[in-house]
Amino acid sequence: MERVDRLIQRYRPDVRATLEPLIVSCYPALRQNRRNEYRKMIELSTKMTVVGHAATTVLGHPYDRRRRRIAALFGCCCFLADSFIDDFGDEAAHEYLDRFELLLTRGWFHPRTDRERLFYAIVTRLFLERHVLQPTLRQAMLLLYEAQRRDVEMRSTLPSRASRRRQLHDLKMCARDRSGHAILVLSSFLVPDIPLAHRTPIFAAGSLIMHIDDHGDAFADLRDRRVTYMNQMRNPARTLRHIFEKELSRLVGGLPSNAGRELFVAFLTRYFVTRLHKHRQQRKLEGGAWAVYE
Amino acid sequence: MSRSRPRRTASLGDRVALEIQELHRRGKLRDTQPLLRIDQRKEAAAAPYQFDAVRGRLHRNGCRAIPAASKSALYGVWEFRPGEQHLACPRCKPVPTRRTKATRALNAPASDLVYGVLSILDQFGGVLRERGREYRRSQNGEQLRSGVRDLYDIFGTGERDVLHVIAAALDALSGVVNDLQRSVASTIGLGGNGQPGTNGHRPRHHEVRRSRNGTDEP
Repeated sequence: MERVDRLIQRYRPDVRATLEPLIVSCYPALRQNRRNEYRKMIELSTKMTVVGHAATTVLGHPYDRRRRRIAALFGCCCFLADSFIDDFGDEAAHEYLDRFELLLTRGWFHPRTDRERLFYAIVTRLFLERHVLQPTLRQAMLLLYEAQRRDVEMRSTLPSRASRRRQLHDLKMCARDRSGHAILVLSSFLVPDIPLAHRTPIFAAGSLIMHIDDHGDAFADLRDRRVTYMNQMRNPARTLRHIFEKELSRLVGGLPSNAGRELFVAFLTRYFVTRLHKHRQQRKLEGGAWAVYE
Repeated sequence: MSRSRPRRTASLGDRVALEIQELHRRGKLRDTQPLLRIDQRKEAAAAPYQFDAVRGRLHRNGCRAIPAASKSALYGVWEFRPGEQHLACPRCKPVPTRRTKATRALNAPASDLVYGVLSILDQFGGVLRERGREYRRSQNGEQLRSGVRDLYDIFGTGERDVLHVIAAALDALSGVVNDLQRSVASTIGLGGNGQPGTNGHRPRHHEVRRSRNGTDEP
């Protein structure tokens, strides 16, 4: 896990150097944002850069500067997309999904705000970095989009008449798909044509990240009335431990034994431990503001 | 969320991309075809195989053994390798396939490429670098022109419509580029040879470089 710490420290300035010029150019107000979004975005993108390192190495490719840049851009893209979905209410979330679908199906996107302009600048750079019509990559993007849409639609219909068991199942699938497909998008941007056998363990790593994330943010999500699988569990720490063990064994069993797999395991373990801690801290603070965590 | 026009400090690529989108918003572009179609859902759903990313199983399309919980994590697959046989569903028993022309074409169908906004950006920088007319007179320019003419000849009506969209976009965008060039020239002055001063370095139109083979490696 020390290696993960070292990588995070090493990549953070790189991530900042990649993203800052774009932010200054498109959306300078983000840096003074009172919700501390700039730092959160840098941390998320740094985390994504480490995940990208693990995925690239496990697939047998060098993690060069260009790939680090892709991972940083992707982290920023995820941060902004998540903010459109989670931070501005249901109406804004639906509207974003409609407009993003137009971008995916027709190529048109009309940015109206600086935040949207930054998002578009990031997306176009990502698309330029890789042959974006590669079948796995484009499918992963659409499957991710559909998972986002299901998440938003489910949120609008809760509480529903469906049984608690059914609702929990749907929430769990949604979390699994949002992050599972997201990591396959990232991996496909980094290394196109991922062998079929490697997609499943990488997908498992992604879904695990989402559950860990949701556990760490459980109180902030509840405060914002965002229902997740993890914050609906009666004993979330025990549930998360069960998911962690299951997905980690799937990852270890499905990937070749190399430095990339070790990095994946170390990163996920560190993430799991630190988010358990974060959850406990947040409970003591009675679900205070979502802190920047690193 | 704050609203404002693109800043003058935005890169050339950003300004061009945003201008294309703005032209479309104002209804100035014909868009009977998509500018860039990433969505491949229909083709993926019709692919001969479906890969379950959750369970790691490869099925024939329509196999009843695909779990309901995996339906949202299915990837269309057009071919698979002999080394991936162990992933095959024991019920529908898919067999490895050779790569055919049809599967190769799926990697980049012409109707999806349409020179898209991104390709415009990518190529626009190159055209600027070569300074238009001089470039067209060169051997490379002649080859390019001949290649485009041949391509145009084999295109159907739909693809031609797309090219018209791009041509209209480029025409309107040349104004933006000229404007930017004037503003750059007035800011940094011109070198003694009449060229913009670059302090011994080639100007950078793009920070981004994509692998040209479209497959993988830098």
